[in-house]
Formats: sequence, C-alpha cells, structure tokens
Amino acid sequence: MASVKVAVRVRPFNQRELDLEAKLIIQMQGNRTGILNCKANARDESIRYKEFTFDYSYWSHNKESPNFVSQEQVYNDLGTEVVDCAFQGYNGCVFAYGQTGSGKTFTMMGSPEEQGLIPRVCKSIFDRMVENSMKGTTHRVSVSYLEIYQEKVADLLKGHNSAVRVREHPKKGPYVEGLTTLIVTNYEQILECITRGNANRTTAATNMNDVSSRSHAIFTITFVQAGYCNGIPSETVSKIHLVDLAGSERADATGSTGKRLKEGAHINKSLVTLGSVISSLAELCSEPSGYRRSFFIPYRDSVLTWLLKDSLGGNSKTIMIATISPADCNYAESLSTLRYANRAKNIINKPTINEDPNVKLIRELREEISKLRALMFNEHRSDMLAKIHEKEAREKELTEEWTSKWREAQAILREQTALGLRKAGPGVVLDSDRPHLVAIDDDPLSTGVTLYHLKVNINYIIICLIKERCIRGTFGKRIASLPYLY
Amino acid sequence: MTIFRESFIDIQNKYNKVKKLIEEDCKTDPENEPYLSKYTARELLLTMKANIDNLLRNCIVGTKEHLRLTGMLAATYLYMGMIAVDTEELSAGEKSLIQCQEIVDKYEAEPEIILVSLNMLNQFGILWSQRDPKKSKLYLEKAISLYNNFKQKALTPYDIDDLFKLNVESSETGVQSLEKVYTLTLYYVAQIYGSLNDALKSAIYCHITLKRQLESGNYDSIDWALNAATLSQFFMERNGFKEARHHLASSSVILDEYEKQLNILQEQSEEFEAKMENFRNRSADVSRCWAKYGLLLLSVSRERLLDSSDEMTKISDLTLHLSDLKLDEITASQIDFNDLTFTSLKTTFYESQITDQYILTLQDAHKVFYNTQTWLDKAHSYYTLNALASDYIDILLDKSQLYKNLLFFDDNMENQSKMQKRRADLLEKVLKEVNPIYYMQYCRQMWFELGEIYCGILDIKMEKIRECKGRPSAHALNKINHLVEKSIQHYTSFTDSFKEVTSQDLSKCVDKDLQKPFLQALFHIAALWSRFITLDKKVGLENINKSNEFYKKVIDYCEANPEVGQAISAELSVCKEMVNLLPVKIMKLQQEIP
Repeated sequence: MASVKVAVRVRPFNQRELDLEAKLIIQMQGNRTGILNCKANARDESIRYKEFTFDYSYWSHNKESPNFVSQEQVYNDLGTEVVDCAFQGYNGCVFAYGQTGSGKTFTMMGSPEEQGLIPRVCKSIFDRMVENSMKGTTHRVSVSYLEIYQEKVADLLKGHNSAVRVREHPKKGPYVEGLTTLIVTNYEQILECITRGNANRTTAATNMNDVSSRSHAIFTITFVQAGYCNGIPSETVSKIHLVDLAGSERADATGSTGKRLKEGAHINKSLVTLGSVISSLAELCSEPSGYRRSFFIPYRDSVLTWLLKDSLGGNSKTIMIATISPADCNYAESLSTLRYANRAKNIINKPTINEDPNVKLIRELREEISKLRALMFNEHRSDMLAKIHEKEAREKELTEEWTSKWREAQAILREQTALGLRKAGPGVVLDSDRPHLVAIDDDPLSTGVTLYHLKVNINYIIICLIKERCIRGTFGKRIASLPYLY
Repeated sequence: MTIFRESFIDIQNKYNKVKKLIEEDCKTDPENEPYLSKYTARELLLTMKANIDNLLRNCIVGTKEHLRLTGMLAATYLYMGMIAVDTEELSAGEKSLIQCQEIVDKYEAEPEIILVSLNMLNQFGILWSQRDPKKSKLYLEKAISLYNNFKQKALTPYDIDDLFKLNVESSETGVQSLEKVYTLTLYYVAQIYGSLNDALKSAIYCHITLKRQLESGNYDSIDWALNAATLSQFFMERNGFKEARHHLASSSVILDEYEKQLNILQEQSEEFEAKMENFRNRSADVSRCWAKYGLLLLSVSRERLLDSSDEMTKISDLTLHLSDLKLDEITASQIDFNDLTFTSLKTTFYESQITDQYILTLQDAHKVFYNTQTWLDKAHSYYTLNALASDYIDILLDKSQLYKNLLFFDDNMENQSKMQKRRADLLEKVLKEVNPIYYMQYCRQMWFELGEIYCGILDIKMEKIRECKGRPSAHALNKINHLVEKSIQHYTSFTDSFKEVTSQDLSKCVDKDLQKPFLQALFHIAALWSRFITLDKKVGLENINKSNEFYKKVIDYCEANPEVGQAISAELSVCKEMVNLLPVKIMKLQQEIP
C-alpha cells in the first residue's frame, strides 16, 4: 500500500525577522503544530489558534531547546525509508513545500556543515552500492532535472530553453521525451548536476518574473540494480524524485499544485479560469462510490502529478516536508502552508475498481445453499449424516461431562459457605439455611455435634424415617432431629 | 479654465501611471514585496482623490462636467478598493467601495457612471464571496438588473478610461467594456451558486458565460471547446442529454473552425507545431467526452428498462427540466433559461449523428454503439499505447464498457457471448503489454473486469447446456472448465496484486477503498471452484475443498476488519452458510471415494 508521510519543520528567526522584532507564533507538541494569529482579537480561540496534526512536527527553531530536531534526525526519520525503498525496487518521492525563505533549501540541501536530505540520501545510496557490489550486484545511477512552469516542462540540464513533452511508456512508465539523463558515479557529480540545473532555473527567472516560486522542479535519481537472483539475471529499476513544489505565496487557488482549494468561496476573477470553475462543477456531481466515472474531465493543470504517478501510489513511499517561518509577519503564508500540508495526502489519486453488483451470483449460491440443506434433511438415514451427528453428540457429551463436574465442585464450595457459626448469649449457635439433620451423639467419648446437610434426593427417605418414628435407623446409634422440613 | 485643464492633465497622467502599475508593473514585483506596485498605485490614487475633490468643489452641481468628475472620483475609490482587496485588506477595501457607492448613489445609471457602478458591484461581489456568499449574490444580482435597465435606455456608456481623457466623449470601447463587465458579473454569479452548492444554477450561468464569450468573439477556441465539452459532462450526469449533446456538438463545431484556421497557416515553426499538438490533444479529449455521452446514454437506458418496468408509461425526455427551477425573480425575467443553446453555431451535423432519447431497441443501441466507437477510435489515434499508456488504457476500458452496455440490448446469447469475448481480447492484449509496476491501478481494474467477463461467458454457456436437452458434449464441458479456470486466474491475479514482498498477510495491506472489490474477488473465486465439472471424484473433492477455503478467507478477512463486512453483507452471509454446509458435501464425497 502506498504510504505518504507528512512532516512540518519550523526554522529559526532570520535576520530580517530579528530586526522587525518578530514574535514567535508557532508551537509544536509531539506531532502537532499550532499557529497563533496575533492580529486577530477575536474571543473565539479557534480563530486565534489553529492546530494541525502531521506524521512529524520538527522543531528546528532554536538549538538550545531540548526538542530541537537536527538535519540528521530528519534524515533518519524520512530519508532512510526512501533509500530502503529504492533498494527494494520501489519508487520514492520527496516533496518540499513552503514559502520562499522558509528553510526549504536548508532542509533539502543543507550547508556543508549540516547537510540536508538530498546529500544524505545520495551518500547512503552510494555507500550501500559499494556494500552490495561486494555481493556481486552491479549498479547504475543516472539523474535528470526538470522544471514545470505553467504546465510546460523544461529540461534544466540542457542549458538553453528547451521545452520537452511528457510521455508514458507501457513498460517503463511516465517519462519526458528527450530529457537529458546523466550517468553519475558519486555524490559530487550529483551535486554538480543540481548546481547546474539551479543555475539554469535562475537564468530563466530573470526573464520571467519569479519563476522559481511559481514553478515546480523535479530532480530524479534513477537507480538500476543488476544481479543474479537464484542464478537468473535480474534487473530492478527504481526512481527517487526530489520535488521542489511551487512556493505557497503564488501557487494560488487555480491549483497549480494539483488539487484545487475547495474551502471558502474564493472567486476567480478572470475568465481565464472558467475552465477550472466548470471542471470543479463537473467533479461535484461525481458520486463518491466505487464506480468508474461515467464522465470525462480533460485534465488541465496537473503535469506534476501526471509525471509522478508512477511514484505516487503502488508500493512507493512518499514524503512531504513543509517548511514554515516562525514569525508573526509570515502568519498568512505559514497558515496556508500548514493547510496545504494538511491536505497533502490527497495528491495521491485514489484508485477505484469498477465492480458489478453480484445479485445473480448470490441468487445462484442461495439456491445451492437450499439444495445443500435439503441434502442434509433428506438423507437422515445416510451413515454420513449419522456420523456427523454422532460425532457432534459425542463432542457435546464430553464437554457437558466436564462442565458438570465443575459445577458439582463449585456447588460443594458454595455449600460450605452457607454454614454459619455465631455466638448468641452465653452459648454458641450453629445454624444453616439448608435442611439438615443434627446428630447428638450419646457416645460418651464424643464431644462434638454433627450436622448432616440433606440432599434433595434423600429427603424422601428421611421423611419416611420420621414417619416411622424410627429414630435409630440408617444413622446407627445417632439421634437425628429435624429442625425443619419444607 | 487653464487651471482646470492643467490639473486635469495632471490627474490623467496619474491615472495612466496607476493603470500601468496595477496592470503591468505588478507582475514584476520582487518576491519579498509582492504588492510593491499596488502600494505605489494606492499612494497615487490618494493624491488623485484630493485633486479631483478640489476640482469638484469649484464645479456646479448638475452640469455634465460635475457628473464626469463625480465618475472620476468614484473610479478613484473603486481602484483603491480593488487594490485593498487584492492586497488582502478586506475591511479597508470595503470602506473604499462603500465610499464609492455613496458617490455614485444618485447617478448610478448615468452613461458616465454606469461602468463604475457595475465594476463596483462586481468588486462587492468578490469581497463578500469570502465572507457571505448570499450577500455577494445580492450585489451581483443588483449589477444584473442595473445592466438590463441601462441597456433598455440605448445609451452609449463612458469607458472608465475615457472619463480621464480630456475632450473624449463616450466611445465604442465603452460598449465593449460594458459587455465585458457584465460577462464577469454572470461568471461570478456562476461561482457564487457553486459555493452555495447549487450546481445546476452554477452550470446555467457557466453556459451563459460561454454564450457571451461566443457572441463577443473574445475567446480562445481550444479553451472554449474544452469548456463546453466539460460542461456537457455535467449536464449528462444530470440526465440533461439534450443539453449535453448540444454542448458537445458546439465544441466540435468550434474545433472544426479552429482546424480550418490552422490549416490555412501551414507554416513550419515550433509555435505552429505546438498549436497543432495542442489541437490534436484537445480534440481527442472532446472525443472522449462524446464517447462518455454515448456510454452513459446506453447505461441510463438500461437502468431505466431494468428497474422501472411499471413506470414505463411515464414518458420522460432526457432534457433538464429547467421550468422546475425556482429562479430568483430578478434574474428569471431577464435571462432565458429555457434555452441552453448556442444559437449562432450550426450544430445539427453533429447532433443528427446520435440520439438524445432513451434507447429501447437493439437497432437504436447499435447506432449509439457505432457512433461511440468512432469517437473512442478517434481518441485512441492520439492517445496511443506507446506514448500515453494510461490514457490509452482508460479509453480501452471505455471500449470494454461499450460492449457491455450494448450486450444488454441483444437477446441473442451467441452474440452476447461474442461481445464478451471481444472485451476479453481487448483487455488481455493490453495486459500483456503493460508493466504492472507502473500501471497497477489499471492492471487491477482489467484483472477484475476479466474475471467478470469470463464469469459472464460461463453463465451464457451454462444456460445453453441447460437448454439443450441431450447430454452436453465433452467439448462443451471442457469449454466450461476452461472459462472457470480463466476467471479464477484473473481474479487471482487481482487478489495477488495486494501481496507485499515483505509480508504475506493480506489482511493488512489492502487499501481501504479496495477492500470491497478484494473480497468480491475472493468470493467469486470461491464460487468458481464449485463450478468445475469433473467426473473424477478426487478432483471434485479438491475443488469443493478449495471453494470452502476461499469462503473461509472472506469470513476471516471480515472478522479481522469488521467494517468491510457490512459493505458486503449479502456475500458474507452466503459465505457463512457455505462454510457450514460444504463440510457435509465434502464428507459425502470423501465417503464415495474408495
């Protein structure tokens, strides 16, 4: 089953925020993240303070805090899983999302002293490759880097502006036509590719206004393991996508990140978005049942999810890290990031199976059931049935035998508690709430009083005994008295 | 007068700057100051306001000049309001808009003022949409009636830009702007109805928006065609087949026109190629919308025949009953709701190819079938297996569905069986071609469907054996066993696909949404094992044992996950009885075996 983990990380104040004497508005406890709206003076606490629950809430605000989460911990929680997954032959996906300057790059790339997820993931892949190659497995790692801007895909490793087309191969899955893929043998080469791609991204950005915050970038590590499995040559291909999602500040409601925002009644002002208004209208009438959609909505704005569909779902692991600023001046952005992260799990398309109702089959099986029943009742004389009954009866007997034994033992125990000895005046009274005989022995050697409880089935005999005034009878020399009889 | 002239030119310059700032410059604002240009524009507007106030003070009320200055002042407030809303200062925006409203109050329908008024009402609509959609609707409805009243007067409105130009009277752009702002009003109303969960009214307003785009000639062909086709999907889901067909036909007409334009160009450039590619892509999408229309028409007709045999007398046509809608008085009188058509388009060619009425006979069903198949083939010519595999499979699944929908109308068992076989061939062929790792979701759908298909053929063949009186031939019996085997094989592929490498325990790794089909598949496998025909009692015994085993699997799974049990209660109770009764049968068979 596909697994998606969502993590949120808060960074320390930056210089600008310190200069502004910004207030801390983020709180984290366990896996929960809360955000406080300082401006709202509403009495309603739910407006002032909002809380979200994620798989991880990473407090990286101040190093002095005992809860401080380091780069290493982030990698241990999230990165290792992706690497494991790749070595097992599945795809993995790491999304980073958050306002520009919220610590996205630090989390993903880090600094030379504190390396981020990407270098650690790469390093671990190469380390394990070395380990595995001792066992005879050979590996090949290649990388590609692309950018999606306004639903168009550009190759970031090619240098000049080059639009490429997305395609889907029946055996190899989604791919980008003509995309540059470079074979790499160590982390330094990977880093070089990232740097080169980023440079291309920034050059383009000077032409188009702040592309980086409106475009998605996908860095893909394709990882081929070849070896012998039980003497048969086998090859597994897995991909790790590292995705830099469009910054939240401009990734507006038109849904450039895949899913449209559905909360509130945000009006699209421009007619350009008529398409998405109509699409969501058509989507509204889709029943949430398991049936295949009876209508078709042409997709318009989901190259990203389209490209990643081989990695979102199936057995792949998906990780989403949202980064936020701790400061009050970024309240709106941080809130929208948290909201987005909260819905992040929805980016995975839920597969459904179109099934027919089984009315006919069930009817037939019901008929078969009545036939089987009839078989049972009509063949009473059959040995087989008798045997079954015999077997069942024997089992029943055995269990009953056992339970009745228990019941007897229990009854005896209970009986003893029904007997009471109490002091009354100068003497001692022995009494019982059950019918009994008290034997007062005339034997001079005997000093005690004997009490016989009467079992229901022997009452009759005793009554007979009394009627015949035969005081000395089966009880030998003992005198029996009847305190009461019912 | 020169002073007036000078100050006026000053205001005009400022106005032009504001326009440039909010229309162009704001797009290149630095990332950390996204509203830089808008804030600058706001400063300029404040000084403009003071200037206009000054001029107004020296102006006699009731003159043309006064009216114009009033318009200018109102426009200034309007822009301030718009900027505030854009920069997320809603209450400041509201304040400016209210000031604007106070100024235009008495003159709202004057040619000089009308555009300011309508724009202002639209802005109120946007502002309130986030707070209270109902209130937003009131403002927008006011805009609709204001527009209609103005139209009746047949006056030429002043464009807002024209107010700020010296010596310019009302102009052509004024009329265009009026129509544009009104189109936006209707578009906003569409969205407000959407947020008020009144999807049908929202759809009607979307239609009107499309209609107005068409009339104004101001639209992108591909966008328009795609939007009309998408809207058709909404209408057909609401049983509005007549409307759906008209929207699809309109979409195709627009695409045809666009293709003609493209063919005239015929240039060899990257841009042209991109346009052609986009055209082919979107034409294929519209084809898919057409195909869904045919598919749904067949299945709606089938359902109607199946479950309403006593209500058949009630003649219902497949159009939306718009007269049932309770429309608000203002709008109802001014917009013709009973006719959701694009009258300017010649759509009959496309509309004549497929009916919009319920299907009753095989003959009618055939017509829909062929038409739908043509659309699906058209879609497949763009969405090929080797380039766009998952779309290809989606369309293929529609083809399979199409056969299924048709076979209901065919009483001939031989034909039914052939159609099922066609479905199976389609799906089995593509299953060989695709890699389950990347297309698991599709493979699962196909495996499941194949299980159903072979079960379907099995039913038909069994029926035939029952009908023929003599002993069935060995060939016929072999055929039965082959079909059972095939069905089991596909259902097993489906259930096995949930196994994880790491754990063999299926009860934990089935996705919630797929639990029900997963259990259905197990249930089918159980039933299928009992359907093998064999004379060998040992084999027979094994089969019943298998059957029993799979019924048990369903029960065990439901015990581990009680919530699914409720979803398949009918199947589950059968399973429970079976595991009680089958041991009897098993024991009997055991005794018969020497």
